[in-house]
Amino acid sequence: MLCSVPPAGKSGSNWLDRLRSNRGFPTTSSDNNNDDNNDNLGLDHFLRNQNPSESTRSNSGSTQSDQERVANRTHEKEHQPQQQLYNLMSNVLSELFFMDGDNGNTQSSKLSGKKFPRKQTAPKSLTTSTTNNNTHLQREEEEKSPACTPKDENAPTTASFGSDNRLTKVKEGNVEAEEEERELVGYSASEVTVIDTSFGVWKSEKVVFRRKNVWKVREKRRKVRSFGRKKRKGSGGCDVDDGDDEIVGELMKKPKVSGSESVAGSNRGQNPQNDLREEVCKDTPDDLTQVPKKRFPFSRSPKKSGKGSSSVILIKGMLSSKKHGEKLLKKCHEDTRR
Amino acid sequence: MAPHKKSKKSKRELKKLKKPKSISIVVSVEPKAIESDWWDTFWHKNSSTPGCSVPNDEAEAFKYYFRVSKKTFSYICSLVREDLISRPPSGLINIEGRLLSVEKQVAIALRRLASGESQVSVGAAFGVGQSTVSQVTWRFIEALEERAKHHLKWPDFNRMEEIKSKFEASFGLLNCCGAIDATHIIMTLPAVQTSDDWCDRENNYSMLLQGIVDHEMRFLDIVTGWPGGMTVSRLLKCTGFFKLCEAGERLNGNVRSLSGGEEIGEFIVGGVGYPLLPWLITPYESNGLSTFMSTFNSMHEAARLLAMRAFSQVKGSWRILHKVMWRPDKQKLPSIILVCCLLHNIMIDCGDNLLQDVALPGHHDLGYGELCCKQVDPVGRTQRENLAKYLHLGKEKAPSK
Repeated sequence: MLCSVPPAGKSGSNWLDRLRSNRGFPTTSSDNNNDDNNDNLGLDHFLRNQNPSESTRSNSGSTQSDQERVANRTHEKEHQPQQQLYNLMSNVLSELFFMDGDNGNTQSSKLSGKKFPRKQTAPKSLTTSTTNNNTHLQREEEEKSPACTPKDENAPTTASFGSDNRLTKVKEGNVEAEEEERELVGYSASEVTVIDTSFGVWKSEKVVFRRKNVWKVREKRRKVRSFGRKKRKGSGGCDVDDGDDEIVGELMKKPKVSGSESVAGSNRGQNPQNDLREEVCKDTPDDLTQVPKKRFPFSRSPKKSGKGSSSVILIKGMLSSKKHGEKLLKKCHEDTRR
Repeated sequence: MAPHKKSKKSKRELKKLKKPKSISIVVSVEPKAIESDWWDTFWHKNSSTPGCSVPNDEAEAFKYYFRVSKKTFSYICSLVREDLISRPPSGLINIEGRLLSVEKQVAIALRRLASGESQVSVGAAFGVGQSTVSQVTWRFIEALEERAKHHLKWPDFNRMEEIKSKFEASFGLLNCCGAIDATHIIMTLPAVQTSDDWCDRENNYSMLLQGIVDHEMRFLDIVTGWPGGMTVSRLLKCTGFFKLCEAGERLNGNVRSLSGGEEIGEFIVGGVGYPLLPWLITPYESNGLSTFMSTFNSMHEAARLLAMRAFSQVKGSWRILHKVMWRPDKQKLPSIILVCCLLHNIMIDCGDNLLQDVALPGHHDLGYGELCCKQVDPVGRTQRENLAKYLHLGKEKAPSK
């Protein structure tokens, strides 16, 4: 498990080694080369420049064993041809993980010395342009489901991926979901099964949030039982949000997505309130570092890696993991506020 | 106990008559005989129960136990038969090792819903175990909530016109489409599930049921599942009916014009707990009422009584809703409530007389006073004024359509 590995690393490996050994980054090479603007920003490009010997095995990059990767990486350290590019990628990766650098310090100071996961609370998604199908798939999800990307007001907003306006969309979604989450602080939550014969489908699952006379209602999205299968409803959650006996409450429809593609990670991430409530209540981890421990076996399951399709899958898993961690951080924030 | 002896005799006779029929029903797939003389056995076994005033008449006794007539019972069986047969029950055999017929399954479920007695008691009455009652009841509920949907639907144009004319004839309320009310289904919750959300203002844990009924006390629309901690005005705003009405997609039929040019749109009547809206008319507050206000209130109350009586009838007929449910599955409880409402509608649709002595004698929500909702919509107020005026004028001039 990632979190069980000391930050200093074992046998000379560092965070990047471990990330790569976990196939956490897309390692497609040929696709990146075709792009005009972003090819220089590709991890492969970066790594190839770090270690020319590895670039000769471009096509086998995604299938090489972990041991090979670690071994190669130790060798890579000896070569530092493009320090600038390295810094650039370091910035990118530092948005995924708390590093020993300035970012981590900032975060830790904000958290007032509490433990936090090594993953960043709100890293930027890797939206570098590639023609890789899987990457496209993930980008679609990000576009369609803004809530799937974790949100945190402390999240670094500087993006080093160029001028992709998708990022702003994601950011807007984050802010929105963040506001919703903030609104629900102090509310009790109850899951209800409602039968309403006015709707086409009579039965629906909802989550009711209550604080005294103020009730809020959210659609409850089903948990994904099997990985990769779509279980999400097309309609967005509806809010009913006002006190009793007041002026007629506006029925606000949250702009939700009806994406055609879905994965477990995004589904989980799309359900901030539910996940927040359910997972925090059920799991109640004593230590935040337990969160990635729990998540990573999921994303590193032999089935997934055995497929050898694309390392993007892991990133999805990581998104969900970091999302979880972020939620707990959020909870942590709430606790400190009280 | 002479009547019982008599009933035993008739039972034996019936048995003789029915036995050959029962064999023909046996499904070829199943090796064991299906029990189909369940009613004779049941009646024989239970009619002599001390303390029960079981009617001597067989038909009446049948309704006593199952609320529905034999004809309606057969109809209900036909609705769910496919579902109850297509999924062969694994453990659904009685103590004699015979498979439960669809009729007996339906009877067990109806008895459980009608009496509200424990699964053990109901099981003992039928000679089956508690778990069988549990399984059978739930499977019946699942089947009926799927198969009887057509018994609970918002009326089409023609039907609505008929309903409106009945309301107008009975109460003088022009363009009235129904009456709305809500009730609490009280339950106990496990300690781990207790939540203030479910705790209502009378400190009971409860689930809300809201219904809109027509002039025959038939449910046109129901909503259930929401926590008892909500007020009815809050409940209303959570409903699809509210959304449809606010969007102008329901109660949007013909507007009736009065002689003075005033217009009255379609509406339903509700108690003071509901907000006054253009499509939901509540009574005037009782302080300082003028004559025409009082007239309106009395007519309004009479119309609204339909909804209150409907709930008394449902809760009285299907006592499972009236008894304090012990730790129900909150995901399943809405289905149980829905099925009771469906059964209520089926009885009306099949022409069964709703048994007045079965209905709750008092208010369906005894102990719950109505909380007054202060929300008043100006258009709703105007609509109410027009209605009151129309009533006061005594329908002197026939309104034009």
